Amino acid sequence: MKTQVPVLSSMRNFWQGYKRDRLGLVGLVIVIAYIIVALLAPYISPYPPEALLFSPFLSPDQQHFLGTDSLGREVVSRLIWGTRISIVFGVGVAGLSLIVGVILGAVAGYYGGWLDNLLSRSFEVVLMIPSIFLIILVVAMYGSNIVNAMLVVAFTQWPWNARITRAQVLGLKGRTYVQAALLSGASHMRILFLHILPNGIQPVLANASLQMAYAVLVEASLSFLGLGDPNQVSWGQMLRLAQSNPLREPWTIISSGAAIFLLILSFNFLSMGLNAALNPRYAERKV
Amino acid sequence: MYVAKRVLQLVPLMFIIICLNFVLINMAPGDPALALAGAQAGSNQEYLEMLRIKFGLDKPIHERLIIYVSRVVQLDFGYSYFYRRPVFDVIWQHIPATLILMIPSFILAVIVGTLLGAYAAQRRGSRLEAALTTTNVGFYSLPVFWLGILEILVFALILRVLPTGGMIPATETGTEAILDILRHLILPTLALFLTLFPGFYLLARASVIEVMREDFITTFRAAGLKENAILYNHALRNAILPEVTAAGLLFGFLFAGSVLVETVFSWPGMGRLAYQAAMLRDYPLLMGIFIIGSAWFIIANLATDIAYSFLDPRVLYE
Repeated sequence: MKTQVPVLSSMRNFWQGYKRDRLGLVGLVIVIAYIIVALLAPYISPYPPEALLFSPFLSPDQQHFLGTDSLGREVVSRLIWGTRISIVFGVGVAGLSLIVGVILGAVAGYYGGWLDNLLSRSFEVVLMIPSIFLIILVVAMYGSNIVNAMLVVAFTQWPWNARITRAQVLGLKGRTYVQAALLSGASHMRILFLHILPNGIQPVLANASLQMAYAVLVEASLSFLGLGDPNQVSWGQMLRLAQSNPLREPWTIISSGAAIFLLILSFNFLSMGLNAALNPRYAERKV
Repeated sequence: MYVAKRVLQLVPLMFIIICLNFVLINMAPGDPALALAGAQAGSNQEYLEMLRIKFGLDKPIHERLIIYVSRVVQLDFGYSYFYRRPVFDVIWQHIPATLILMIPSFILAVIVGTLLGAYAAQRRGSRLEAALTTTNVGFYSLPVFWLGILEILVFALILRVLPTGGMIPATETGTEAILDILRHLILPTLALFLTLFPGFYLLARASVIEVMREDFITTFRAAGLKENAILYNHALRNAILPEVTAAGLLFGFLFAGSVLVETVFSWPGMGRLAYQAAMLRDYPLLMGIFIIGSAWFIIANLATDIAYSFLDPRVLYE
């Protein structure tokens, strides 16, 4: 059983649909721009982000485009370096939650029975935990490093992916081509991961984009609360520090918040584009 | 029958939440007594010894779990070393401030979001609708703490028309005190409202568009009913179910959603208490907040499901 026609053609249709959503494209372009900035941070940042090179509270001028903060660190460099933790956090959390959620959701949907029952209950239970309190609790007790924070945020997010995947698998497993694969002797694992999942994964991807937006927000919130990784430059931490002297460094407040906002907005647009491509019915509108 | 079944599900859920807490205490690096005491009390050997006896830390783990669960069930979350009072009392005292802040913001967000969403759905495909939807996605993406700081910067520090934060000076009483609380409420309420209503707008818009496609709407149109009458009397009524669910879930986030906004505006409620407890490493207080916040969340979910079953009786027969 080597034929996999549906996947490629559906991917192409998907892109055709995606291109129609203008905001979705805008989101995609901005997200890619952020990723490039994160990758190139050491080369494009004008100064080291932690270096106390200047006087504090310098106003924006030609040498420091967005001025300096309360410790005399240059704001543009800090913004550029701050991109890294947000992207790593967003991609890391969404990726982890995607892998765990897709595997468990697929197994639940495909095998059904007591296994499905058990897994579905576990999705519900995890979704019943108010995530922000759990995240604060774990970070306060186990230390505020990025790995702890990412693990606990992913733990609160995977059941959403699991639920969507389960529903997709339930819908696809009765299809004729799956039956044909089964009759030709393909193993369950092969059918599930090579024939069913590639055709049902798109809604999970749209959700993953939303989860990236959420993860970026959580990271910024934790840093803003002083529960972020103290050894990493982050936008939330910049806001936290600038908050005590808002009138003396408004540029820090405006720029670091805008960086968070624009990234979250772009992930949301990206997700809208994915949804528009999935439900062409909703894509008729010209936004 | 349905209601009773749903209420019974509360028990295992709460038990799992309490167990999760227990696991977190016992997995914490170092001595579990330290985790129970919080960082501030960690150097007090007598206090640690007292906790070891109280929670039976020398006993095997299953006995400890039973002791822990029975204490939590009696609302005994331990002692807040920073406030020097039982955790439950401290939390209880901070609940009213959170209610005063969150409930008006929630109600405003649900009503405005829903009506605006229905209005946009009616003008589907127009420039106005496109602009409204894009603006809403924008507000939806705003971090509430950034919006709060910007508000403080503009209205409190530059224009100086509203206070930067806090709730009320202790000296005032009567009408003056109420007016003062209202003045302090304006900025945080605005920040919450602006970040919350877009969710309801997007949901209402989608569900009204969905309902407007159904046959009975076409029938109304054929019968010559006015578009506005169809929208507000019939379509909205049928599109309201997802809104009810979302509003119920939002009330579940009453305490969880208050952490950032209360911290920015120094509002003396549960959210800021959670922040302070985290900063001071006051673990008993933090865990008490976690358990009470979870219990509230679960109950709000349950209430939503039950309300839904009355609004849409089909659920009861499934």
